[in-house]
Amino acid sequence: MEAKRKKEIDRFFELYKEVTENSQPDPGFTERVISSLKNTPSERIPEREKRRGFWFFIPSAAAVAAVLLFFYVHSRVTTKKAMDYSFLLSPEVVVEEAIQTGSSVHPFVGYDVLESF
Amino acid sequence: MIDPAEKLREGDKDAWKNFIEKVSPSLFRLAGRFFKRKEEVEDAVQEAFLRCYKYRNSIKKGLSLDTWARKVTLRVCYDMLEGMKKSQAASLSSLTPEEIEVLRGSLRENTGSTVESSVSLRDIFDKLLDHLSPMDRMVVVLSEIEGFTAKEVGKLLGISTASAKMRRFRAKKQLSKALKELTGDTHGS
Repeated sequence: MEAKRKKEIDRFFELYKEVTENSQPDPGFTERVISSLKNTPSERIPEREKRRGFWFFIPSAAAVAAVLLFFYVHSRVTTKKAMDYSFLLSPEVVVEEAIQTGSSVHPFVGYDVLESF
Repeated sequence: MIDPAEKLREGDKDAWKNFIEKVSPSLFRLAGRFFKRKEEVEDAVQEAFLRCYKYRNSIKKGLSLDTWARKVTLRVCYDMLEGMKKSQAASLSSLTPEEIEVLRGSLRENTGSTVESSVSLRDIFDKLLDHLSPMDRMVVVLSEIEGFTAKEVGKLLGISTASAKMRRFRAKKQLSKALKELTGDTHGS
């Protein structure tokens, strides 16, 4: 059955090719086209495409830059907060807390402070 | 020797005349694959030359002018087919019993079509192809009738090779289904 269908469609294309073969320009065609070309202005596609691409690029780049800036500022603020927090605690408080909770001492606490305990 | 493309870019009248005379026959044959009426074929080719002239500054050095003209013509044909598609009703249902009989007879025969029957055959074939999307129709005509490979079809129509293959497969399947519906009884299916 498949072979029959294939034969049928091959025959279809063969006949289609045959019945669509005879399109030819008439003798006056070239002259008609030449006369209609006179009023056609020339345009340069690539330049227009480039301009379109440029104006499309600006908002896209601005959006990407804004997102990157947000993440950068956010990371700086959170790092700053964490660092400030560690420095706001006095070494004594840190060591006291470490003794109570049994955790290790913050690395910023100097040896001299540890000795005082 | 001056590059012919350079002369075309400059808008040289003689260069354009030679170019039109040289590529017109192949463009007429190409457009004739999609349109039956002579006026439609001529409109498509003329519009293609107008677009070629309009965008002559975009001709790149070393580019095959024939291929460029063919690509522009196909684009015009696609636009025209898209425009026609909107105004077309369901094409398969519009086939008359006589047309279905002619189709059955022609597909059964192994000899070439006669001149009298080729006139109505064209209408029948167009109705069959009209129910494909314009792009699928172009892909199947270029590959099955013009003999281009999927890669060449992709380049000519500005689509990927994979897309060209997929569209060809889909179009052939749709056509096969339509032919089965119309002529199935004669094959005893």
